[in-house]
Amino acid sequence: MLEHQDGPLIVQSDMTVLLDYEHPMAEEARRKLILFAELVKRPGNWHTYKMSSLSLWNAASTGMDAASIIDSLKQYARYGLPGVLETNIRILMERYGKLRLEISEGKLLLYGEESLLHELAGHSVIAECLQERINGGTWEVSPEHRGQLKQELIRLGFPVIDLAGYHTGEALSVALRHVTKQGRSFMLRDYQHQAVNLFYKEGTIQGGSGVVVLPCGAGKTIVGIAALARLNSATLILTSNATSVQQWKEELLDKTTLLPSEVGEYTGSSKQVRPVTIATYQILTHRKSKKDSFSHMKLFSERDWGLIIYDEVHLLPAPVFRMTADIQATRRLGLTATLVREDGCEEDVFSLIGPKQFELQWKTVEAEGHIASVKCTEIRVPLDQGISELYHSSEKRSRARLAAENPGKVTVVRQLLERHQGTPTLIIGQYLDQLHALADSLAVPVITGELPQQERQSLYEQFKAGDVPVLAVSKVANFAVDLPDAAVAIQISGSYGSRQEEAQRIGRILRPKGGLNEAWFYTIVTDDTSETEYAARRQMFMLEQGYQYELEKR
Amino acid sequence: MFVKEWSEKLTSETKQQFMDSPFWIEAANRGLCWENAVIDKLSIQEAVERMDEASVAVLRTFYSCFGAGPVSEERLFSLREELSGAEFRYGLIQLQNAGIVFALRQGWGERLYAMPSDCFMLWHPFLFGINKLPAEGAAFAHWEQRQEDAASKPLGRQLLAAWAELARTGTDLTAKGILPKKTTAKLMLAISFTDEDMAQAGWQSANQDPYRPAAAFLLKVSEHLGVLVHEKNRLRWEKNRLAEWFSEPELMQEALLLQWCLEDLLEKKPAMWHIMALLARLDPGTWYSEAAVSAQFLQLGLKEVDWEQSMNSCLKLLRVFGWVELARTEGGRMLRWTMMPLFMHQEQLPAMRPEPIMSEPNGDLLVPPGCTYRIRWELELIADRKSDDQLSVWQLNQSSIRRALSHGRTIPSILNFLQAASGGAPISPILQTSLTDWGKQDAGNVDKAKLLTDGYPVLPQEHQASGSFILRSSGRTLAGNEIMNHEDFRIERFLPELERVPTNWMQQLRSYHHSTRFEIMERALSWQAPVQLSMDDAVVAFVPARLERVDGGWTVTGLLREASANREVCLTPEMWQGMKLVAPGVSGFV
Repeated sequence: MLEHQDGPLIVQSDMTVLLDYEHPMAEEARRKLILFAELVKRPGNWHTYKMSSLSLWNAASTGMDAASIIDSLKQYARYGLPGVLETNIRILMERYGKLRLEISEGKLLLYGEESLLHELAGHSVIAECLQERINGGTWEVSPEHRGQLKQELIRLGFPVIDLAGYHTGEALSVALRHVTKQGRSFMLRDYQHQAVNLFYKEGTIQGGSGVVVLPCGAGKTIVGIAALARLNSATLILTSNATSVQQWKEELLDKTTLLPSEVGEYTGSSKQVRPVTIATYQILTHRKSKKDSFSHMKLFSERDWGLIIYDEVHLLPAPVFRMTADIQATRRLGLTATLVREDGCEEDVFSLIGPKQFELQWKTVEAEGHIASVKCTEIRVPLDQGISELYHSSEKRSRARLAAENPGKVTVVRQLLERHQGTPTLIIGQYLDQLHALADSLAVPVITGELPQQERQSLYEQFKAGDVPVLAVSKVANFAVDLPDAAVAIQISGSYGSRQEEAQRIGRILRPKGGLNEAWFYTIVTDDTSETEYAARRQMFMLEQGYQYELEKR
Repeated sequence: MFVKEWSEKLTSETKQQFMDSPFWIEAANRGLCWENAVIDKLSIQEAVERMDEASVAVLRTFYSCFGAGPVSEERLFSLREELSGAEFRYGLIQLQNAGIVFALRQGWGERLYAMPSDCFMLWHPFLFGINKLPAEGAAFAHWEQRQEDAASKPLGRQLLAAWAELARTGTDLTAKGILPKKTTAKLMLAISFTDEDMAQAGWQSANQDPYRPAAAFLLKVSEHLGVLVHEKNRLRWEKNRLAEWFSEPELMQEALLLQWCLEDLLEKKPAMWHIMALLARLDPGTWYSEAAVSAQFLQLGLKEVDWEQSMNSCLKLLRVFGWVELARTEGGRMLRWTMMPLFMHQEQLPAMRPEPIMSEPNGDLLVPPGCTYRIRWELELIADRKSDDQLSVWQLNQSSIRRALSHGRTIPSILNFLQAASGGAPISPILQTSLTDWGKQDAGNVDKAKLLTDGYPVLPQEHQASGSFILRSSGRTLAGNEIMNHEDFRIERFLPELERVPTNWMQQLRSYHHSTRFEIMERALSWQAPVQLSMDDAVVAFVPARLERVDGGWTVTGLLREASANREVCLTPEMWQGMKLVAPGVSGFV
């Protein structure tokens, strides 16, 4: 009520910070803010950031202190800072650095203030990890409990600085190519270079574990490959699905000196363990029954890995976390577009993979032309008269299906294909019957889950080569499929209100394009039906990411 | 009762007569009327400087013992301590003549005295001369802070949320004439103060109040603000009054609510009044040490007061109503105001214009602190409040729009409202489409015959001028009593037979025959006036209490005023040389 200055930030008691992006000082405030707060959403001119224990500890790991954070907030806060917020920042920040793990004379030691260690040792889970009290401020830790100890301490609100170092792992000679195998010149972008440096930290114990946050399409895979080439050691890469495994492999062979014999796939259909092995989370967490153990977890110990890369670290499943707790002496790199996890396991990422080492905002990447500028449009079409009566007499679920499969959408798709003739286009749908019917009438090939992987791969290749300009795809193409030239995506139907799905589908056309670097996303929705409601829900995530939708009515 | 309420009860002539008092010379020269002069800091300072010792002493006694009153004449006079009866009466009359203290006649003839309760905190610093405390802000930044609790929302916001809940739920009463339990339960969710908070703050609801304390307080303040009127079968919204209240700036609302709470909660708790007055002197927004305020409180020398408990109760009250933040530090408890406790004039308002809301394409409505309550009121109906902090966030969604439609709003009226509330900024097409879609989907579900048009009040369109809201006190002060300030308070009323007293007695310090000395003492005794005595080359003041004839002579017992202290003495006439009768207002003061 009392304080008021012309600043771009509004700071809330619950650690939320809102940034007025239209304010003249918005950019300088944003640059400071992202050092200690995570972007949550940016649906319009107001962008929402959130400070948390983890975002503050991430900041502390880069050398920031509470006073500098509070000063930054005060400098830009429009209405001053709530007292409780200042207090919380101080309390959380002062906890960072109170505990540290180091190796001394071959022993793993936990250092901290005597009173704090005494209090923490009173917790049974912590006591399990501690071997012997050396003195008031030092405890010996059993090395196999290194990860578990860090995990439990962070749950109690105390992050540990892990300076116990890593083993180097099996040596592997690998370098980045200057010209790719496909003949294109290749070098790391500045931000990719910076991300790798911050992760590697000259090979010291201060580096070697942590997370790099880059938006979709900004080249997370390249950062992973560069880290591998910097460490020159055997590497295990974990990713989300089989298609992604393929793409990692292609990128590794295309952009590094690795030989095909040195890169292995570890999936449902192939179990190769080579100096660089790419596996899916799914295969690692596969077991015959709930009573059985995860037999493929042995992959973690089948070679002397010097680096483990966790792709899409926000999807990392719990059993892999447990396994990761046991391999804390191995360097670990997490790659993700967001640190926000649906399951709330952000703390485990911090303690077991490591703090955030680098983050680049989507807006920055787009401004520099590293991802395409996407124009999103919702096109409303009336319900086909032939099914209108049926729609209104049907149950809710049937109505949704009828609206999604509205035959009136075909004409719009045809018009859009004409509008973007010559531009590689994906038509994406939820219902196979609808996709097949549309593909037949437009004479375009269709990829669904029914199609064998080999045929899918072949169609993807033809699309990439420009032999197939339009491809109809089902939800199998939602995930990590790299179709860099696709510039138009037409969504004819989708899961009811899945925000994630809309984002994944737009992600397919984000790769940078030549010329004006533009891409178009269309979602065709049947007007005056429940589909408009689902569409609004689906768009929510993208709206919050700063994308705008235009509306066309037919 | 507040100044504005007293003003309504007084004639213009009486108020003009107040301004004729010598206390208000400068204020009158500046053209101030009585209502403004009594709450104007400069005028208050000037008035206190112009006051005679008796008036200041009376005012101090009043404040020290009774807060803003009311107090019976008998009780007031019993605590006059150092002043003689005549001095005390004289001082009181001067204060009455200036409209600073009011005399009230009760039905059975007994007299009460009271002051406008909103004057208390403003006059306090000029009467007790306590130094302003230094701020702790600079040092505080480096202290290891430990916040006790998150700050509560300001009481005005809590009321708004509760009223909105009541308007959405309905105001019908049960057969017993009270709100249904479900409704009061919902009200309790809308506010952050609890029954326990109210008890700890020392507030007690009226006997046989059918509601629990927090709900009773909420409904009481709502009725006193005049926004809710209790009828036989329901509580009725007074829409004009609601619109008037919402047109006041937030800082003014909170200051008025603080005044109301002081009057209602702290009646007969003078110690709490003093704590509030000391706290009110602290600069808003700056941290201070509670220990320093307590030390000042002890300097006031109030008797029979458990200051620690009083301080705790005060701070508890201020915290639950969102008016102060508290923090525990290594140096003890710290506090800072989040509002302006002495905010009285529109001109004191920080330069803040009403701020527009910001609508986002995803339906979020961002509401800055400077947004008017009139807008917030409508938002409570058409959208769901997600957070209420420095910036409040409401969200438009299908269910909130359905609710708004069921209360008689339409999609075009909602869009018009959003457009106006956004200060003309464009509403995102996506949001407009969503609203239209929700409206269509619910069109069939809204039963026009059951539209709750009477449920959630539509505020009158007319522009309400801010600064004109008259806050109603409990009215206990005046209930059935008659204001007597317009009576003729002449000196002769308390100095009877003044014209028959030799003027020399009152003008010069002279030596008299013992029999005359006796007469003068008799007169002083009947007037309850002091005398000056020259004793051993010193002039002292003496207030006679008792004359006795002893063995052909006489003695007088009374209070001898000395520089170090007053003491009761028994004198015989030969013990002083010269004497003078002091008639307050006629022959000065001692």
